Amino acid sequence: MGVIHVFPDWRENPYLNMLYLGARAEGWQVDGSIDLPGLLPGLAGLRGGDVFHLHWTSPVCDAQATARDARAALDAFRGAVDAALREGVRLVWTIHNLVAHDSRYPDLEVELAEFLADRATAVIQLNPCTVAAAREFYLVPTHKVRTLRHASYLGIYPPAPSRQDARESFDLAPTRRTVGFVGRIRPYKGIETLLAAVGLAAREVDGLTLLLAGRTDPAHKAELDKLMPAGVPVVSRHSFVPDADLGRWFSACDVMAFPYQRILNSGSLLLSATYGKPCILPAEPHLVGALEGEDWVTFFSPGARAAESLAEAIVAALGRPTSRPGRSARRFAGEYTAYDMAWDYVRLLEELPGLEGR
Amino acid sequence: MASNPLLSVVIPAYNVEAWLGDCLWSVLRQSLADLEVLVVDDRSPDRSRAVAELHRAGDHRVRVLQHRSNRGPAAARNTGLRVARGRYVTFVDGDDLVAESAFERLVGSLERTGSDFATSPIEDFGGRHRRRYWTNRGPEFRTRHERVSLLEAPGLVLDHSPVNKVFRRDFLLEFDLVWPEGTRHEDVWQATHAYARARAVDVVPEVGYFYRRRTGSETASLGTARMLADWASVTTEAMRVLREAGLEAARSVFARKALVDELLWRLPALTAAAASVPGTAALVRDLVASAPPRALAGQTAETRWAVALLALGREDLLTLVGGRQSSHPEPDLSGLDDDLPAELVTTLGLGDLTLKQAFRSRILGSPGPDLRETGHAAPTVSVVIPTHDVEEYLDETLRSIRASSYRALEILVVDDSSTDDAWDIIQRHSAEDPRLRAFRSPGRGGAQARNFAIEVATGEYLAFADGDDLVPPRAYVALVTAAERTGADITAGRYLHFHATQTWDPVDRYGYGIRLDGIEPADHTRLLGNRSSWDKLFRRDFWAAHRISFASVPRGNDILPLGVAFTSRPRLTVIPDVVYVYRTRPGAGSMTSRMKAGNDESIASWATQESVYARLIQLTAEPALTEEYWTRALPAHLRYNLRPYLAGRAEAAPEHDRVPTELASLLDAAPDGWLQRQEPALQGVLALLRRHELAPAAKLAAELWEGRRVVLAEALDVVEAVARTGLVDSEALSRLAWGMIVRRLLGAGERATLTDAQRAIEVSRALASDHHAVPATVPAGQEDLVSHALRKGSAEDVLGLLVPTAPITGAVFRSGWGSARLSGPAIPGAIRYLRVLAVRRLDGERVRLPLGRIVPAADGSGWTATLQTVAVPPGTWDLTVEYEDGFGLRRRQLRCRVVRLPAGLSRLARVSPASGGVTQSIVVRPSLWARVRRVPDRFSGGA
Repeated sequence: MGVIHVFPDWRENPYLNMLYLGARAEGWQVDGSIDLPGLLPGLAGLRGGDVFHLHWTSPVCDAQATARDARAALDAFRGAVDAALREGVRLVWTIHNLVAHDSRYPDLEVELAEFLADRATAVIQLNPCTVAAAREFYLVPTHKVRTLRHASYLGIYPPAPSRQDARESFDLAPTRRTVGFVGRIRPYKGIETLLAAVGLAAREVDGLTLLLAGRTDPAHKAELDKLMPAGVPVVSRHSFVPDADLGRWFSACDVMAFPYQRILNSGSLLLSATYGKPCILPAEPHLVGALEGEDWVTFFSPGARAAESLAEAIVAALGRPTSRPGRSARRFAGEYTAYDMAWDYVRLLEELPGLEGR
Repeated sequence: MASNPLLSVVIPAYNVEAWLGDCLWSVLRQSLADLEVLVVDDRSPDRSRAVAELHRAGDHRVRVLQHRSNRGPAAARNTGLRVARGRYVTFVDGDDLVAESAFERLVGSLERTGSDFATSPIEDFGGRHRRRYWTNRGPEFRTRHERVSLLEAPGLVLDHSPVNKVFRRDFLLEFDLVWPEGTRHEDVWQATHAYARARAVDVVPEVGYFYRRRTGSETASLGTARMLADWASVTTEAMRVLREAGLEAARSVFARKALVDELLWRLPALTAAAASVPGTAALVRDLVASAPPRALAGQTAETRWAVALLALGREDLLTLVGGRQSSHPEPDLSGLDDDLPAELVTTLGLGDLTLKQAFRSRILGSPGPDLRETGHAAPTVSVVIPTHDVEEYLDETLRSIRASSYRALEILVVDDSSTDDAWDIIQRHSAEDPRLRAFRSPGRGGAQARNFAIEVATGEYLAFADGDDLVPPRAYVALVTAAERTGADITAGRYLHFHATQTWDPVDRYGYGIRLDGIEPADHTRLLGNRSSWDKLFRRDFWAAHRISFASVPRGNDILPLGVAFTSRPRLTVIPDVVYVYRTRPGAGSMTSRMKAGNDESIASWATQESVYARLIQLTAEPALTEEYWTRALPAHLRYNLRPYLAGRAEAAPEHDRVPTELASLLDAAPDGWLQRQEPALQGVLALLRRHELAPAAKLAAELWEGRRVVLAEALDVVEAVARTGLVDSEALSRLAWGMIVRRLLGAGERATLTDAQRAIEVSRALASDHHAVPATVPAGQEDLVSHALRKGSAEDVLGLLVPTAPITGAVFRSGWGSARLSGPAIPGAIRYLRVLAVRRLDGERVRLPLGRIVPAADGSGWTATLQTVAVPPGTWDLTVEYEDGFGLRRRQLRCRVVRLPAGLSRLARVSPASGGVTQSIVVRPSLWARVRRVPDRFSGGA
């Protein structure tokens, strides 16, 4: 077997570890780099039959200090990829974001995406709507597209404590109604909408409490503080939540709300399923397409009246018993696990042009 | 002319300016004073010569010789030997230290016995730990020997260092035992010749020499092509000399060391060289033939292949072993089937393949005779899966096994009293797949569940899986194919450890990288380190014939069955395929997690299993297995199990705690001298456990395994408790005592009380031998000062070193071009003025350059030092004044900057208080000019 060079190889991300489990077991040597200076020699070391698997594009251009540096980085990246392709290396690109969130050089990001779409041996989308949604920015040839779902985190993260224990740890009464958000707190996640919605929902739900946990940029934090709904109790943690503690946050919530803007795939949603928590999402076509009919998912309408719609969804979700949707969420998580994803990825590799049957 | 000295000390000096001062200090302060010191400056580009000259000026016993050009340490030693006048001669490296009474002990022994030379152990220092140098770790160095030779003590053949010996000079001259020049391995050459020629040798067991381990020193790099050729040539010569002297036992010891350590250390370099190193092939064949049987038993398959290729002179193929495999174009494999020593052929586990065929299929990965098959007529594999509360994972496990591309499976799932939904999951799968049979376990525990499944199993093979792990789809195909082809009783594959953010492959530990067919465990002992059942396929009739079963114990129920299986001389095949994915379960549910929490019953259970396992190994009477188990496998198991058991213990072992008893039973099976070979702290932990002394054992274990330091009073308690066990020998006790007491005194600082200091003295006097205080002969650091004070035996002195002291005030400093002058009024309490050094950290090393001696004024009113500052490297230095008072050695410092001037001169400038704080400083009186200009900073001064 050959080598898979992963970029960026963000080791703290369980997704990557889960994805490559099967490939490792089948004898692939998986290594990687996290920035351009590490990537270029990594690419140069690949040989025919090896795979360069690119995930997030931001370390290529967006990490550069100036537009000129970003252009130079893009050129260097393209040169190195083309050289590797001439050696017979296969390029696999997973589209995690249509373009890097909050990109500093959006034009270059699009140019990079176009380059990848053109050169890739295969382009992986995590849900069937991604490539269609990307048409706004760039075109991916249909014959290259493969869909490989994001697995749940079943068996990956530690089990959650009981709801009662989790609540006690936060000093929350068992009867208190709670809505939660766990994940990186950034502008595109629509946190502002959530805060406004909680403010509105609190008018109808007595004692509604918001649980908010995740790493927050200091610059964004001050802005966030101003938007906190008046009179609504908030339990918050603005730093990374360790794996061992994730379950406690989910367990203490009645319902999770992930009011994403412009996001394709979220680990938070799958965590929510893993911990058996109902969840509220924007009615983006790709999310509706993937999750319609799941009774643990409620949709709200994004757009001008997003906060009102989300507030209604929160009130509705809290008004329903949570045990059945909770079981459904667990069932959903069990349907596609790390094992499934890891060996689906192996099959995907084995079917790549030039690597068939390896 | 003065009469000849008793001893000549030859010190080659090359780029040792930073350490030569300390080295000379340790030599000149020897209790044996009747000596001459010959410093041979090997045209050192640094200040080594200046340092030597400085000592020559102050001590008539020092002579300085100089080479016209740099010729290497061998030539420098030979130069010294030529001019030496002593009846005895010894050799010291310029960056090392000699223990205070070392020469007295060695020379005294020779005077008494008339032997040709005397040797004593070396200790490393400068790294994180002080430890015995590898050439002197053998049992020969544990007790005194007089008039022995390699015939009686063959292990001495490894003692090839030139620096730990005192020779009769006429012995060296009689046999022309000089160091060969032009090689980097002159020591091995000279020492082997010396041992082969010696009529009698004395061994003095006290450590006499301290070898400074430093990065970038000559011994740190082994890898150039020239050095490899050098090594091959010197090793070949040593083997020849030993053969001609008829020293076969010593030759075997030497060959083993050269093969297993020295050759293997050089494998990366040989691989990188990728070209034939002259003489290597013949040498490797000779080493393999001369080393004891199974010398390679502990090596991985990759290593064995590398040795085989070297023996065939095919270094060019080494890069393909264990590296990136590529079969295009196929390299020239001619000559691979040439005659290879039988010992090597056996060790490669070739099965029915020729070497060339095996190289193709196993190293190049080309499709060869290792065909995979999946027919319906295939033998059945009974997969045994015990389950207990694994609902989170079980569905994945069962799906992974059912999806196996090997279809002839009988999946036996035995549920052991699950309280969750595991049984429902099992039944669902049973309904979907007729190959899966679900059982409720008739007993309790995983072992009974497994044993029950084995009883009802009907397959030709047995495989095991746990309910929370995964089996890759092709695992059973690979295992069964290999087992059928080779007739193996046990076929083992690789496995992965899988955790949320990490997947890792422990292959290196066990050597599963390359396929091995039909081998015996005693030939591949490293495989014994892996005692799990789930990465192996067992022939069921082998299992039954040896009545193997799992023991009903809370922990380690794989240990015994694997012990029985491995020691029943099975035919064993190893494949490099990953056949199992072990999940390191998140949270606290798994058995391993319970272990980590230190559950006493679990640990006791482990110790019981381990004890039986040790005896099973003993019964095989296979030295290779015994060595593997006690040197490699067991220490790792001890750490893994005892660490959680001892964590945070503050009380004695309760009556019902079986761990100490079980552990004692295990240690009773240890081979002679095993305990003494362990590091002192581990000896202490085990001794305390044997005596049920958990609280001190926990403290010592925390130091050993967690790096946590206990306070002084606790350290003293621990050391005394270890002593009370009566189970640790005096050397280990002494090392432990010195390390803990001195470091803890320093840690306590001003908080140390008179009682502490008195106890420290008492304990160190009772337990620590003097020679473990060294390098206290050299004032190299605060640690050594405290050692000195402890040995002196005055509690006040010890405390005096730990309390802040007053600065030297009123000093005068004048700096010129290439020299400087520092003077001051008499220092209160000073008994003796010593020297001035420039001290700083340079490239991670503490560099100490002697600059000049301190001369007290005749009327006692003050002191003056003239400092030679030529070629002191530029930068910031602490000028350090050393003197002695009633408490021992003292230091005061003055910070200065060295500016490099043309023509190699240096000038000291910009003086300020040193970093140690005001109490450790020298306060310089401002110059007249400065006072006139009213410079406000009273610490400024200088030229």
